[in-house]
Amino acid sequence: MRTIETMSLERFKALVEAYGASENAWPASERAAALAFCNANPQARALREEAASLDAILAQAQTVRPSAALEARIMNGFKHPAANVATMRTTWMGAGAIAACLVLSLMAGWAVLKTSHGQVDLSDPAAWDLIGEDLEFPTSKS
Amino acid sequence: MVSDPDTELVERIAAGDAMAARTLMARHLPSILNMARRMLQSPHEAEDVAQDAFCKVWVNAGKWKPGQALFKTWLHRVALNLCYDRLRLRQHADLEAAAEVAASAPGPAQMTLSGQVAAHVDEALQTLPQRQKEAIVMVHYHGMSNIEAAEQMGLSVDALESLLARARRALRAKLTPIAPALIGAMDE
Repeated sequence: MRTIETMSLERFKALVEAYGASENAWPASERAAALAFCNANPQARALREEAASLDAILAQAQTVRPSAALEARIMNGFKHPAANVATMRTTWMGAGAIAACLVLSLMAGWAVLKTSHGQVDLSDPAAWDLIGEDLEFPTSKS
Repeated sequence: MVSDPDTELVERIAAGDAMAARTLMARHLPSILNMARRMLQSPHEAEDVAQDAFCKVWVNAGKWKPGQALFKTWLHRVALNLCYDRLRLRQHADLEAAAEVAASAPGPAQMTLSGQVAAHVDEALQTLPQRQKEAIVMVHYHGMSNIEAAEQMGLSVDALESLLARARRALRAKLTPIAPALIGAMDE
């Protein structure tokens, strides 16, 4: 941390040449000392005023405000984690529903076999002749 | 340790709070957009950089660890790196594309007086060597501290100070000769 005793005109000049006239832009560790030095030194004040004139011109650089379209694009990219959870839940529910349908189809198939043809042993080749090829069996024969 | 005014917002964003996301965007988008415009001199590319930077915020908010760096500094670094990527690509692109970018800017006759002053300043900024421009953009236009900017650029504070001083000298040399006209226009 620099103090007013250790601040020199040379260092003050280097500060305003690099950071400009605004004390807020000066390094925090030297700000208080530089300000006190400037208040006490006419040469330092002149240097600061010179820097301020350049700052005023630089402040005229174009500044744009973000368009509503850009803001919308950015917010569209924001995904609510709850939405992700909901999506995941829907996916799992969908998968569960498909699995349940498959099990029900199998059970229904077996039920059809049982009700139409009585007890059928599908390991017996003769049973396939009994069932006939027109029967829609819910699983493959292999 | 300096408290980070964005920490709470980032935590809420990680929890999926869209309002927090909108607040954070409103707080930092203008600065990010203007930084990218000054670095790239292309409104369209600057918008893409800003969008990509915030996309990274949305994705990485949950991994953010307060205390390592200010969130604002991290966000500017992300945007700056995205600008570097595009500048590197431009080095390989043909000159035709560069001419197209320059041609997209309005001519002086189409500008208001304040627009003409801004154009002179922007033009002077664009003539600076890349590292000097980065330094002046970060410190002068985006209010970064010397320590933050030096860290962002991977430099010592002394080296940053040297870049800043050279940049300001070059800008003064370019703008001082027309300063009376610029100041006159500013007063009107």
